[in-house]
Amino acid sequence: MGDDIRALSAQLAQDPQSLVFLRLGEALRRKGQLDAALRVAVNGLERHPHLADAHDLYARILTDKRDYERAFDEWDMAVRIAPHHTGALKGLAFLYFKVGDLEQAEAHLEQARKVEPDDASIDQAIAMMRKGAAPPAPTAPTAALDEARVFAGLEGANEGLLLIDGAGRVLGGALKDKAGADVTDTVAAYLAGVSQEAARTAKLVGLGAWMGLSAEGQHGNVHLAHPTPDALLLVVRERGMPLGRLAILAQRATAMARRWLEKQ
Amino acid sequence: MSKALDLITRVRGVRGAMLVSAEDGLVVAEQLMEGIKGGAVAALAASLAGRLRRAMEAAGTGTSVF
Repeated sequence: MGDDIRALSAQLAQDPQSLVFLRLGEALRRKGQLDAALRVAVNGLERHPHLADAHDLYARILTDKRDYERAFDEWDMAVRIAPHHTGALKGLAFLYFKVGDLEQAEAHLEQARKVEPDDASIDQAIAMMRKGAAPPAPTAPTAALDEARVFAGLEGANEGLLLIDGAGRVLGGALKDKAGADVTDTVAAYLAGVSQEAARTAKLVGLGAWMGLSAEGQHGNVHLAHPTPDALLLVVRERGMPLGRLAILAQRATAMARRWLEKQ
Repeated sequence: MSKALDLITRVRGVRGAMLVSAEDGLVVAEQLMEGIKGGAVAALAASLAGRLRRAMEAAGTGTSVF
């Protein structure tokens, strides 16, 4: 855990705009370093005031510090930004239970269950609450916090898939070169604005909206796609993978990225 | 050069072809459908290809050969 915190701190220092503050804040919170976690969350919120996950993180830390009133405000804000944010819905349910408003607590858990019907922890929380026991305090939605988890389960999620926003900021995935060096940020910087250029080029030649772009390299092939108008997805694979198969893999990654982005 | 582009555009489904200088995005030769702004397309295509080439080199796939 200590090593994790050091590594995450270094990553954040290198790229203060990165969403890695979510993971660092949560790691510090879990370790009980609440003041440090709070500083990380507040700094992150200053940079990303409209990020529901940032408000969710801040609320969790405030809950650990027993500052329930402000925690309520933060989870409330998270739900206003992202009405289907299950972490915030569960958080609000936990706080409603704390003040004895069981009706509201259950209503929020039911709302969370509609969003994630397969989440067993929600059923468990409802059952506990009906028995009069407090539902467990909400924990971080780890899948949303780990940037590499956008493509969880997809082949090469940590070394051959990259999701960036229009400004070239890394949203998920990672890239490594042949020597195993992390080249994620370098590649992301080169690709900033590519989605917009591809859209304008396709429009000028009368092709309509662009769907994807494949290129063959001497040692590998790449495919570009855009899950949303601003975001850009890059899939990198070895030369042996045919471009058609690469496009199919990119389609699957695009769908995953789109779902992930919609949850943010 | 125009003969080469002519051969490309004879392929079914190909709407046009152009050769663009990667360095400055200027049109070297073109055979495009009427109404397409060749100069603008060339500038954008060159920029796009340049970014992609640099990204691919950084990612270790080598220079793009398309």
